[in-house]
Amino acid sequence: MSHRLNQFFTCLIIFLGCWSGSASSANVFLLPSDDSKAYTQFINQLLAEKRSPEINYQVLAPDADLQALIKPRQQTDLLVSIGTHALQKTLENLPDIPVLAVLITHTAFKELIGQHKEAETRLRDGKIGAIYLEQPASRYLYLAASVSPQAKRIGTVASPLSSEFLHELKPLTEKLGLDFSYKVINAEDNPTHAIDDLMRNSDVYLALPDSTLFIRGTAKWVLLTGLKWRVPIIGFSARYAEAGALAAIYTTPTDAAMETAQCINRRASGKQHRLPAPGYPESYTLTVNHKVSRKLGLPPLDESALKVRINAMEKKQ
Amino acid sequence: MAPVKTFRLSYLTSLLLILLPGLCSAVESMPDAEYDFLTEQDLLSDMPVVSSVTGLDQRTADTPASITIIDRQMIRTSGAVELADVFRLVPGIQVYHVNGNRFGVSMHGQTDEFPQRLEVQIDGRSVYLPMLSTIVWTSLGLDLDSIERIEIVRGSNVPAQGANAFLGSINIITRHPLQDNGTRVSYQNGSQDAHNFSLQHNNRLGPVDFRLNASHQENNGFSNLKDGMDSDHISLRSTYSPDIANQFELQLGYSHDIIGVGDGDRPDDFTENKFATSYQYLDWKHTFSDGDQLGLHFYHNQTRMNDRTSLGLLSDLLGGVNPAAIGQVEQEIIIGSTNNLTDRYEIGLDHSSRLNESMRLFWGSTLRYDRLKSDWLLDGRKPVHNRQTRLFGNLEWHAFSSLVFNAGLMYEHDQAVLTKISSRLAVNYHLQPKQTLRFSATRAHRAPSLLELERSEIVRFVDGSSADIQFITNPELAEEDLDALEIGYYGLWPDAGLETDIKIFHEIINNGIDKAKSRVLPGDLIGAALINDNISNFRTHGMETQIIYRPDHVTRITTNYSYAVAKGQRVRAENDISTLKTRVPRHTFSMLASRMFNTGLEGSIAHYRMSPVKWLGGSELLWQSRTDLRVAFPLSDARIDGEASFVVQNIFAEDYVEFQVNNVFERRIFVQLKLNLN
Repeated sequence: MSHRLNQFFTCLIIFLGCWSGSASSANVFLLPSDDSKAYTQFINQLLAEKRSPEINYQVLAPDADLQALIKPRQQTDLLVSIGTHALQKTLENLPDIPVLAVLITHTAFKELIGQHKEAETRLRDGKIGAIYLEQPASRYLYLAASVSPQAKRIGTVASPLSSEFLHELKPLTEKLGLDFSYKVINAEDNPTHAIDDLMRNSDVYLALPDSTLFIRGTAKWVLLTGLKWRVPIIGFSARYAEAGALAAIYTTPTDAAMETAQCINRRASGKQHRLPAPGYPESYTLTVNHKVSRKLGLPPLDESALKVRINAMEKKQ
Repeated sequence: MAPVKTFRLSYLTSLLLILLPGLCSAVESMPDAEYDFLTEQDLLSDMPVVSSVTGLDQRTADTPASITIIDRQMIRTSGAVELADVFRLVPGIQVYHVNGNRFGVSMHGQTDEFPQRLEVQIDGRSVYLPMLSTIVWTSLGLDLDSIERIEIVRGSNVPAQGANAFLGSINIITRHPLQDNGTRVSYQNGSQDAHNFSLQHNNRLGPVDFRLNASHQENNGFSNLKDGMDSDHISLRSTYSPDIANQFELQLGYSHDIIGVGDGDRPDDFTENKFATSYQYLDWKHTFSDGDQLGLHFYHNQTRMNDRTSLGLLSDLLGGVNPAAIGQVEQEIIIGSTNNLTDRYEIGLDHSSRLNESMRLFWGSTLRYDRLKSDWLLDGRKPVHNRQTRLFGNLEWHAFSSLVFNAGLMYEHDQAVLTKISSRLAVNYHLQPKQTLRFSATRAHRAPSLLELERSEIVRFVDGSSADIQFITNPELAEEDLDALEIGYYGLWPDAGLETDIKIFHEIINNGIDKAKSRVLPGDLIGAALINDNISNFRTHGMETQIIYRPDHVTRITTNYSYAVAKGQRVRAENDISTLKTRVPRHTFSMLASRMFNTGLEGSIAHYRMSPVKWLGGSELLWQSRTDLRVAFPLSDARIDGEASFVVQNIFAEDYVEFQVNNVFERRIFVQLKLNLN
C-alpha cells in the first residue's frame, strides 16, 4: 500500500510539474483581415520575432473556416485577429480559444464587442484581449508639450467619428493647465474657416486620427493654415509628418507585431497566461519633419529625446 | 473627311454620355464605408505628399521624370524681377531676353524668339498662346509673391500634359487664398527706369476665401532700344469648400500690356505691341470616402493683340521712286493688325483612384477649342479654329517595395493632324529608401499650333496685290516627333542636408517645325519669304544635375549644371543647310546660395554661366557670366511689418549680350519695399 501510495504521489508530482511547467507548446493562429501589405508586414515581423520553438504559428487565410480549423489543445493556444474584419469574423464564429485582437482601433474593438453578447462575457473573463493601433490621446498631448513647451493653447478639429479623442483630451488639458479649443466638423460642414479660425488661436494643433475622407478633406487646410499662422502640427501618421506636420506619433504594423510577439512569448513561456486587457500600444514610432522645424524657427528636435520625455510624462500620470 | 469627323465627334459625345451618369451617381451617392466607425484602414491609408506631373500625388523618387521644384525662398532670394528669370535656376533650361520685356525660355535649345516646345500651366490652366505659338511671360499677370512653388518637369511630359509639353513643362502653383491674410503692398524702383507696384489682398466673403492681386509694371527695356513695357494686371483667385468632400475654385484675370518689340539688329524698326489678355477658370474637385478624387475644370483664355505698324509711305520704301513706276499709287504700307484675337476654351475631366494596394491610376479627358482671328496673321481670311480631343492616363504600379513602374499614354485628336498617341514608360528602382535609379523612355508628338498651321503674313498694296510675302505655311505641315531616353538618379541624405538629382538623356527629334526660306514665290517682291515647314531633324544628348545642400536651417546652396550636345540638320533652303550644334549651349551653370542671419537679414548670391550659343534668329553669343546679389532685411515694429530689399544684377558689370547684339545686359540695381497692412 505504501509503495502504491508512493507511486501515486510521484506521478502526481510529475503530472503537476508538467502542467505548471515553465515551457509548454502553443499553437498561435494568425487571422489577417485580407492580403494587403499592412497585415502581411505584421505577420512577417511577428514570425521573425519568434523566440521559442514551442510556439507554433499557423497563418490562416482571411476566409478560413475557423470552426473547422481551430481545435485548441493547449491552454496557451491563441488566435490573433489582425484588423477589424478579422475580429468581426472571429466574433461571428467564436471558436473556443483565447483571442488577441491587434491592428484595431479602440472604437472598432468596442463596437464589435458590443455587437456580440458572448464576446462581452469572454472579455470579462480575460479570454479576449486587444492591443489598439492608435495612440492614447494623452500621448499626442505629451508630444505637443514636448516640442513646444511654451504652448498654452491646443487646437484640433474632429469628425463625429473621433469625438472620443476630444472627451479624453479635455480633462487632460485642464490638468496640464492648457487651453483646449476644438470643433466637431460634420461631412456637410465647410471645413476651411473652422480650421483657419482654430489655427489662428492655437499654439499647437493636434491632427488626430479620423476617417479617410475627413483626413483627405481637411489635411490640406490644416497644413496650409498651420504654415500661415506658424503653428506646429502634431500628426498621427508618417505620411502626415511627410506632408508638413512638425512631428507625428504612430504605431506601425512592425511596432504592433513586436509588441504582440512579446505578449505571445511571455504566454508561451508560462510567465503570463492572462491576455493583456484591451489597451493602447506601448510601442510606437516618432517622426520629426526637420524641414518644418526649420521653417518654424524651432531648435533642432531629437526623436529619441522626445520619446524619453513622453515616456516620463506618461509614467508621472 | 466629313463622315470621319462626324464619327469622332459622336464618339466623344457618346463617351461623355456613357461616363457622365456613372460619374454623377458616384458623386451623388458617395461609396458607403463598410464601417461607420474608425478602423485601422483610416490610420494606415495614404495621404497626398507631393503634387505631381503624372496627375498622381507622388514622391519625387517615384516620378517618371526629373523634376525641379522652385519654392518661394528660391524665387525671393534669386533677386529675379521677372518671372522668366527664375528659370535660370533649372538645369537644362536657358532663359534669354529676346527684347527688353520679351523672354525666351528654352529647354535644350534649338529655339528662336518664340520657343514653342514647353508647356506652361498656372494652377492647371495652360497659358500657351495659340496666336504666337509661345508664352508671353509679361502678360501672365503673376506677382512673384503670389507663387507658392513652381514644378518643372525636365523631359517630355506629353503623356500627361499634351503636345506642348514636348520637351518639358512648367507648372506654376499660386498660393491658396487661405495661405495669407490681410493686405500687402510692394513697390520696386530701379534700373531701366523701372517702377513696379503690386497689391495683394486676402480676405473672406461669407464662405468664400479670395485673393485679389493688382499690379503695374513699367520700364524702358535695354538702353538705346525702344523695347520698354507698360503693363497692368488684375486677378482674383477664390475658393469655396461647401463640405469636406468638395472644393470649388474660380479664377479671373485681366492684363493690359504695351511692349516694345523688334529685331535687335535693326533698332530703328521697333514697334509697340499691345496685348489685352483675360481668363476665366472654374474648377471642381470631389474627394470620395476612399480617397479617390474627381476633377472637372473649364477655362477660357482670350488674347487681343494690336501690332499694327506703319512702315511708311511706299515712295519712301522705294527710295524716293514714284510708286507709279510699279503700277501703284502712293500709299501707306501697313503690317500687323489691330484685331488679332485668339480664344482657347477647354473643358476637362480627370479622376485619380487607387485600384489596389500597389496600383494607382490617373486618367482624364479634355475637349479644347482654339480660335484665331487676324487680318494680318491670316492674310484677311476668315477666322480659323481647331478642335482637339484628348484622352490620357498614367498607371503607377509598385511591383515591389523597391520597384515602381509608371506607364503614361496620351491620345490626341485634332482637326489638323488627326490622331496621335504619345506614350511613356518609366521604371524607378529604389536602391535604398533614399536612393533611386530611374529609366524612362518616351515617344511623343507635337502637332503644329493653330498659328503654325494657318500663318499667312503678306504685305499687300491697296489694290490687294501682294508686295511682300513675309510668312506662310506649307499646307502639308506635319507634327514633330520625339523619341527620348533617360537614365536618372535621385538621392537624399537628410542627415547631411544633401539632395541630388542627376540624369543623362538622349532625344531624337524628327520633322522639327522651323522657318524655311524661299526667294521664288510668286507675288513676293521683296526679300525671302519664311515658310513654316518640317525642316529640322536632330539629336540632343547630355547630362543635367542639381545639388541642393542645406548644412543648417538658415543656409541653402543650390547648384545646377547641364551639358548638351546637338547634332542634326536644318534645311532652310537647298543652299542653306545648317547643323544645329551651335543652337544649344554646351554648358549651362547656375548657383544660388542664401543665408538668413540672426538679425533677420537675408543675404543671397546667384551666379550664372553659359557657353557660346547662337539662338535661331539671334546673334552669335560668347561665354556669358553674371552674378547677382540680394540683401533683404525685415521691417518690423509696432507700426510696420514688412521687408526692404536691395538687388544688384550683374554686380561685376560683365556686360553681356542677350539673344541679339544690341541687347546689352548691364549692371542693374533695384530697391524694393514690401509692407503688410494687417
